[in-house]
Amino acid sequence: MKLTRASYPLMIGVTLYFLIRPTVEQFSKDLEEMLSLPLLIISIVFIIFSLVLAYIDKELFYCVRDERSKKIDRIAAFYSWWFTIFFVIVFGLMSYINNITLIQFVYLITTAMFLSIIIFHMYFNFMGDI
Amino acid sequence: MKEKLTTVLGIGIITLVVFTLAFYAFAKTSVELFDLISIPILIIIILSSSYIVYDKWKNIKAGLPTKDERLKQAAYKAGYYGFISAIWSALGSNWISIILFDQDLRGGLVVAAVVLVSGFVFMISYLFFSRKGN
Repeated sequence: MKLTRASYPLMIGVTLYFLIRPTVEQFSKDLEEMLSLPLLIISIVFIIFSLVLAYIDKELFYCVRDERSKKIDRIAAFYSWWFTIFFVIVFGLMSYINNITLIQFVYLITTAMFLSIIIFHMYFNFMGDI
Repeated sequence: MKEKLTTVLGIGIITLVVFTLAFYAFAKTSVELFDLISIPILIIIILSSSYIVYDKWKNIKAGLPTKDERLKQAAYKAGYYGFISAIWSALGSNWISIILFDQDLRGGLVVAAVVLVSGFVFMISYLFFSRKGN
């Protein structure tokens, strides 16, 4: 899986349904049941949008990685790493105060990591010159 | 001026970490497995960050810039590896604990695992890439 313009919506869709929905489920089953169908519809829309973009960019089966995309990967991961440390410490403190269970904690930090890498990658990719 | 300030800040943070570690080590009455694993990692992180700060200070004294384009690339690459190790340590620390000790980790220990492992990977890879040359 390579992060490109076409794969951003797919990643967001997958993160919404397979990461954010189970994270919500860990905190409230009722809320998860309420959000499940809308999240599924949004995810499907994102995935279709991603497939359309991949078709336009000719990246359905193969995606070329140049020096710039490699550089973006590294810069995005570098900033996400700092954010990850920040989130881990904040959620760690929250887990002491609010009695967050381990599985809730792991879901929270994994969601934060994935969202931060997607957002930073999009930011540096669309910024133009890096 | 900014470079000097960040270097002084770095020295201050390392000193604080060393004092906290010393205080923790002397206050401990019994040694647990977690201490045996975490303290050596923390010492390696302290030593490598001290070396980086010392190197920066040397450059400031010589009137050279503390960071060039190559070091920036080294930091980005090291950050990339740090991020990957953070993901795996967040997921893997609990799996390892279940496999080895048949029990779940506490939230605080997962925090420690993520910070220590990813910090360790970042520091070692930063030193490696900055020393490697090309």
